[in-house]
Order: sequence, then C-alpha cells, then structure tokens
Amino acid sequence: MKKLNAIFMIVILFIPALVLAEINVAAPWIAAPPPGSNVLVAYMEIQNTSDQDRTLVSVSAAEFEEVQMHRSGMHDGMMMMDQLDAITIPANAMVKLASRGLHLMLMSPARYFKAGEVIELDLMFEDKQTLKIHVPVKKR
Amino acid sequence: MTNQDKGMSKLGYAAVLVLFGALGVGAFMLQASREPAPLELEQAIEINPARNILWSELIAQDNSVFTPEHIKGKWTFLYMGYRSCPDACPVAMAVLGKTANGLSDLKLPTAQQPQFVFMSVDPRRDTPELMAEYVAFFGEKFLGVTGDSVQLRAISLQLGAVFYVPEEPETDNYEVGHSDSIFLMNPEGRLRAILRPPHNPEMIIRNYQKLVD
Repeated sequence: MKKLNAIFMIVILFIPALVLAEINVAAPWIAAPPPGSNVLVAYMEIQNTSDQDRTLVSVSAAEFEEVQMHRSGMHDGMMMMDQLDAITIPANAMVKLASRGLHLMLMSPARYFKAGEVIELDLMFEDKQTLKIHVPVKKR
Repeated sequence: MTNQDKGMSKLGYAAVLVLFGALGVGAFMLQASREPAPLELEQAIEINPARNILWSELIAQDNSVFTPEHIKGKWTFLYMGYRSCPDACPVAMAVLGKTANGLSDLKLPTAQQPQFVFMSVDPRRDTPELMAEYVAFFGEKFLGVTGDSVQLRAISLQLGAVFYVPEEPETDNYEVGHSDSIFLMNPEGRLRAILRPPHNPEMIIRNYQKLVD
C-alpha cells in the first residue's frame, strides 16, 4: 500500500510538469519599482516547444489587484501602451517580454516590493492549464 | 595690340583668377570654421547651432521655483515622463543613473559635470514631494521638476517633444503618452543634442564626451 501511495504521489507530482512541458519560461524578472509606484513590470522569455500555438490568456499574482498584458510602442512619436487580451506563443517559437515591448503589468501591489524578493505568478493558457513561476525582483 | 600686350593681359587674367580662387578658398575656410563638421554621434541628433529655448518657470521637487537660470551654467540631461510610468521612464531613468555614475568615474572638469532633470508632464499626480522620492531612487544627481500644462507644452514644443495627458480622466489610473528621447542642453541652456531610444549608458557617455570637447 505504501508503495502504491508512493507511485501515486510521484504520478501526481509529475502531471503538471508533463502537461506543461511544451511551455518553458526563461530569465523571468520583475523590475524593482521606484517608491510609491502603483505598478510593477515583469519581463521573461516564453518558449513553446510544441507543434501547436499556445495562448497566454491571463496572469494572476497574490498581493496584486490585477495582472495585465501590455505592449509598449511608439504612436505619433510618443511612447504609449496597448493592453492586450492575450499573448500567443507560436508553435516552436519564443516570445520575449522585454522593456519597450511586450510586458506584464502587476497592478496595485498590496505592499512595497524591493530587489531580492520573489513574486509568484500564475500564467494561465487557453486550455485552462496554469504554469506557476517564481520571479525574482531585481534592480534595473 | 602687340604680342607683348596680349601676354600681359593673359597674365592679368591669370592673376585675377588666382585672386578669386584664393578668395573662394578663404571664404570656404571661414564658413567651415563657423560651422564645424558634424560630430559623429551614435543614435542622436546634433543640433548645430544649439537651439535657444525659452524656459518657463517651473516647480522643483523641493517646492522651490526652477527658473531658467537653473538650466544654465552646466550641461543638462532632460527626460520628460511621468512618475507612474511603468516601462519607458524607469528604463530611461535607470540608464541616466548609470550614465551619471559612469561620468562621475571619469573625473571630468567641473564645467563638464552635468545635471540630470526629470520633467514630469503629469503635474496632476506628480506633486513635488512624490517626485523627490521618485528621482532619488535613480540617483542622487537627479532633480525633478514640473509645471502647469501650458508651461510644459511650451517647453516641449521648442524641444520637439510631444506628450499627451487625458484632460478629464475617469480614474486616477490613466496612461500618459510622451517622447522617449533624452534632451541635452549646453551650459547656455540651449538644446545641443537629442538622444534617441533605446537608451544605453555607454553610448550616451561616448556622445557626451564628443559634445563637451
């Protein structure tokens, strides 16, 4: 029985890893915000190693009211941001979230986060699968 | 006309040609000395001659008046943005912070040591007190200033910068659009160069050294 339990535990532990094996997140980081800042920004590289497009539809984080997906860009010579409904990672491709481009906006933090802390993010994809990542807060 | 006369007049023509030629070269050299060759800046626009800017009186982070005199006497890096800007402004400010450190390591003569000014185009939310806290995060050499929308618009128009702030936002969580260039003023308070994004401290330092030389 103990052996069965152990096998069961191993299977349970590996399921999430198996299911999301085709999505990898590399080099995630959150920029340490200036004091009084009401928003934090997260950057990362999302790799899709599967043969199907994957779409990131929502992101959540405890201690934040909301996480939005944005794209910065120049409009009429001005830096502006567009809020996105989703970010698609094409099959066998990587999408880079970097400054002055795609990024996650962590809105209305419950407290001040400083460099050295780690923030947990849940990335939810179109098929309701969720990838939990741990993102360090770093100085720019 | 004798052959000798012909020879003389030919000589006269030649002398006139040489004289005009010399005048031409002289005029060209004079012109060249007035307008020095463009500096080879990276990802930047050199303004030559430096453009006069009429500076309005602004409010500094310590609630003092930032007069046009404050922009004179030293080189000034100016960035226009807003405090709650999540992406572009903190990136540019972090780059300027690193630029300040890099330049102070170079031990430049006092006249070449610049100041760094953050001009908020969002005075509704960016009070002097909040700005003081904000700029200090990026370095001790920063000065935060702001003004009313008419003053800010007048300055930005002269710099060739643009910004957009909603007039009657529905919430306090609105977005502001703004130029992402860094403006460099010479010690006379004139616009000398526009540094284009994406910004990089090493590149800014190389450009700056060419400009102050």
